[in-house]
Amino acid sequence: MFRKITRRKFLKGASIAVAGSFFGTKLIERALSGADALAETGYFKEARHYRVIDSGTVECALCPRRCVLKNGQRSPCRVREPRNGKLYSLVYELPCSIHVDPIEKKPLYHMLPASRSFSIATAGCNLRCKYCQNWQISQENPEDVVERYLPCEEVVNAAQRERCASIAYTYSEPIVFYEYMYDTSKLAKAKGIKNVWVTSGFINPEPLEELSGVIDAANIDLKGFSESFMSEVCGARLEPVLETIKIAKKNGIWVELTNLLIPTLNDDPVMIKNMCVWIRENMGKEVPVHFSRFWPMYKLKNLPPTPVKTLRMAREIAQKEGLHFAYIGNVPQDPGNNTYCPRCKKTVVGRAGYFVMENNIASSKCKFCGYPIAGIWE
Amino acid sequence: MQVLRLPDSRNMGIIYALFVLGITAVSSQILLLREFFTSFYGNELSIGFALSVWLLGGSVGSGPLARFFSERIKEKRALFSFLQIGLAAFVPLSILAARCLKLAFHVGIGEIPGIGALLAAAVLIFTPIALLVAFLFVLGSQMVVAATPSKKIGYAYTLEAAGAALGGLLTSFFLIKYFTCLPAAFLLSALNLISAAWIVYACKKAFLKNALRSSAILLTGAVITAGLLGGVNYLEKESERLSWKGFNVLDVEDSIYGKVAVTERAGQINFFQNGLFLFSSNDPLTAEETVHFPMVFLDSPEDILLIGGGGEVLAEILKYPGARIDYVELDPLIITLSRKYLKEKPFYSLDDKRVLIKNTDGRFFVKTSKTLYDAIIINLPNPYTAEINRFYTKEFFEEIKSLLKDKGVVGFSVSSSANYLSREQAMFLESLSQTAESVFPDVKIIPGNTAYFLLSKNEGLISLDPEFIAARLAKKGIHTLYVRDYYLFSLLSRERQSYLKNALGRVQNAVRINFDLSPISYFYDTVLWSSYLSFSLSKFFMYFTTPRLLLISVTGIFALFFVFLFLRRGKGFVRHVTLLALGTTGMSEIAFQIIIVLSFQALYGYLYYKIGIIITSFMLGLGAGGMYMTRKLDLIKNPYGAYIKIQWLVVAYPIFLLLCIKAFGGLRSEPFYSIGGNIFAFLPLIAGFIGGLQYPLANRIYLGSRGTEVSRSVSATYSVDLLGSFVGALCVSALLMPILGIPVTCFLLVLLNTATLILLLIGSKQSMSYA
Ligand SMILES: [Zn+2]
Repeated sequence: MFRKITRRKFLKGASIAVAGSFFGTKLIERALSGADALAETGYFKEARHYRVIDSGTVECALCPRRCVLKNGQRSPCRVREPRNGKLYSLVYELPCSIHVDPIEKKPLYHMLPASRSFSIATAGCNLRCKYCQNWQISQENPEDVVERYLPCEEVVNAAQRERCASIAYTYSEPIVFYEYMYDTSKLAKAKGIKNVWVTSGFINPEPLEELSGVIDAANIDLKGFSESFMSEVCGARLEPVLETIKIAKKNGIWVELTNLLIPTLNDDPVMIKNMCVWIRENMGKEVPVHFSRFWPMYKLKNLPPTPVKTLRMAREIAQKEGLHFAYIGNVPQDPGNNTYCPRCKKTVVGRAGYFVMENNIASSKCKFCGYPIAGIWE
Repeated sequence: MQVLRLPDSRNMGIIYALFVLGITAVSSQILLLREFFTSFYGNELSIGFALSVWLLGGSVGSGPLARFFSERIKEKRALFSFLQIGLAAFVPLSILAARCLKLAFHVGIGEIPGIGALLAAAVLIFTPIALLVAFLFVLGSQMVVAATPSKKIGYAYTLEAAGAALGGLLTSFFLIKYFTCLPAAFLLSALNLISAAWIVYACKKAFLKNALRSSAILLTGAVITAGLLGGVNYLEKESERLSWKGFNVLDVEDSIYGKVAVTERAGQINFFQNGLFLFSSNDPLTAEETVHFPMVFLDSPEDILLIGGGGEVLAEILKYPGARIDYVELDPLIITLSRKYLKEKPFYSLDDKRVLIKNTDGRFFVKTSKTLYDAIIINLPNPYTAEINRFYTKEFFEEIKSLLKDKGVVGFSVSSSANYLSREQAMFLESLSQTAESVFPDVKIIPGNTAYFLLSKNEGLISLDPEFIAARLAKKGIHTLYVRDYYLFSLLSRERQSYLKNALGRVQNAVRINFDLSPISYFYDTVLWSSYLSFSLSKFFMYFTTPRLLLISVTGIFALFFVFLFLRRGKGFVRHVTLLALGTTGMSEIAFQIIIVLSFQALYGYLYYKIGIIITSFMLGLGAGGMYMTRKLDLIKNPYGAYIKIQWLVVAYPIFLLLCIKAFGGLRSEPFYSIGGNIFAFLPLIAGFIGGLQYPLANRIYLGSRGTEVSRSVSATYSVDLLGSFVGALCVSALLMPILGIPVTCFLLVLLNTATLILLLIGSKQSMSYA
């Protein structure tokens, strides 16, 4: 029983106006605008975190951008809009991407290995990463993507039906579909399904505190350890992300970190070292760090993939700084795929791709020496 | 030569100047387009932007700008010389700008710029030269007219066209072959500086003459010294390094097909062609997927055809015992540089006895090969140009089907999206899928960020069951890192396969099959590419469905017709309608060139020198037409009547062209096939000739109708000609040709030119009073 949202298109950006002038702007304008149909369809959910400034203006309190929006003005993350002095989410229960993935794909290596994760995403994102793998949804308006109507309870039912141990809020940026994520997580938690948050961590402390009550594990993308990288390549800031990582840990969410290394942009050894030091000092040695390989994508389609040597170098730096669980993503048959016991150095979880080849963890401990391995293992 | 009967030997300077102008225009355009494409990671659309800027700049330079200055400045020779020195400076400067502008615009290495940066860069890089060249042409025409007793503008036109024809040949056969980009640009500068020194010879003001002359000579000396002492090469290297900041630049070389760059970082070698990432060492994933997806289904593969290669693809194929490869690679430079820089083991396969390298166009090879293959692997980029689109059409699939053994498999891949397929992405994939299905009974697609298409003549041969594929690979004893059990189970999960199927099913009725002469998949790829720049742009393109575009075009032509019909009682109607005909011809001529080049590539392959002949023969036709008409000009009693006769030819040419394409397409057997190819390359000669006839005549009518000055006439006619070309380049290459196809585009051209013809006929009564 899936209903489809009425598509609403509108003229946006100078580029189309320029192009339009060659062919008669009026004609195009009329075709691309059209009725303001969203209001009628009624897929509105009042946002949980915002502040009313006056009857026509609100301030969104979800992410550090703290956008001030007027009635009818679309948020930069493309999925929020105030109407009559209230802020609404336009993607509540309207995912556009629904898949079942191995949990290793998120990546989460220290959580229920080899289990299935029911993964959903909506359109929109509060970042602008030039290398986004899911740019066709993250940088697009909800009215221009193919959506499905999937209520929160249906997500939980489907996850159970598909024998998934967890529900992952992933692909684009779940922060922007906060209400959908929060409500679904609450239902899932009640039914014993775990909730996984795959995010850039660009969120304010208040909504994060609330979310912490329902989320079990998070993979937070520490995109690059410099403010200039974060602003120039991702359109965000580093400081709030670091804050998020600390709060998530404090609130008992199981956190793994991802650092995608892009040639020339964030692969400087000094930057990697500083990041590892920060992680050790603020998160301890037990937090897993995934160094993953950049693949020519979206606006960076003509930058070559990350050299394997760079990934290995990053892992070595992390190990040298004392981090116990540093991984290399997407280079099969590299030792960087496996989890080694910090004490006896034996392989406790052996992996190939997203596949778990061996699992030597019993009651959250190393089967060989009994050393407790951090994570959610059962 | 009788035609170029100039009174004074001093005026040889003008002849040389116009000739050099033609060379500079074409050569600098070729060099700059390449640099622009490389720096700003384009596709054909961005070349379209650039060409449009060029033509529009030319239109402005020859129109308002030339009119403004040439009416105010008396010393034409001094001005000409001064502008030539400017042109000499801007040719290398614009090339440096193309390399460095992206840093100024904060566009990173390997980053596709936004639409704003792209347009701004195109304007900054191309406008100065386009303005200068067009302005110089108008000035030069005036000088020729002043120096010849019969005052014929046609001379200048002929000289420039001849220079352009030579410039095209010179660039492809000489400049690119023996020089890298910047030294070639400096060579052009030197040609212009010499001309600048020569042209002021007859200048009346001694001070201006001496100043310009000595500065031109000094600069020539400086350019030559810099070239000899290696300064130019130094500048070339440094600017290249700057444009690859962060990478170790191992080599940058130009071939006639493009600029190949080899870079290194952290031990990984990366190959780029015209700035687009080709492949890198250490990428077994791509190589394994490209090879094993088609080959795993073969029992004992022997003959393999690989079109386009790179990386470790050859080594993966050679894992099958008994396999031998015909490896077709268009650009020999890629092979040369691979041999030089990829010394690790898998790349030695280039010199393996089982590999036969064929440096030719894949389409040409397929048309002429007699071998039957077990697997045909097409390892080419997305159809981001009409040229590459030839490897994704129904005609091409038919050609390779005839080369495929009964139990053979064809594999090709295009970019896709793993977690979500947008409507645009789905339409792109579905058009390819339907095209393949129209030829092959079994077509299967592997989902992921790259979509792999597998085609076979028999159903049941290919299975996307991950267990089946993994078992077959294991049985064959082929060791792989990626394409094996653990990887395939998640890639080929039933859920991902059905998602792809559903997404394509949704757009099933919205797409068409991709043909050589109606390259719709190329259009969908353009839409996808434009969504990298901005979604608004891609939505703008998606607005043009076939019926809608047809409606808009026909409405546009009728609107134009009625606007002019309304003007018919006005005083200057003859002048207006003469200019209109020049503009619509300018537009049609560009369209003819695009159509001829594309159909030639489809029928005979992308044979660079033949394409060179096509473009040169157009220029030669233009020059010959101009020359012929200039000679006859005094004999013609009724220029307007002759003008109408020529318009009849413009109306007829698209029909003639279409008939030729159909007729030549039917000649499949030798020797007719080769003979046809040779004749086909000269079709533009006729198109050029018709256009060339029109221009001098238009000037005569324009002058006769008003008694205006030569400068006004040249500036009006030349700028309208360029404006028409601008509109044509933009509409035909981006919309009409890909969406409507060549036959319908030809029909629209007939309609447009007929409208012009009717208007010309209406004007013939008024014209009597001018004659
Ligand atoms: Zn242990």
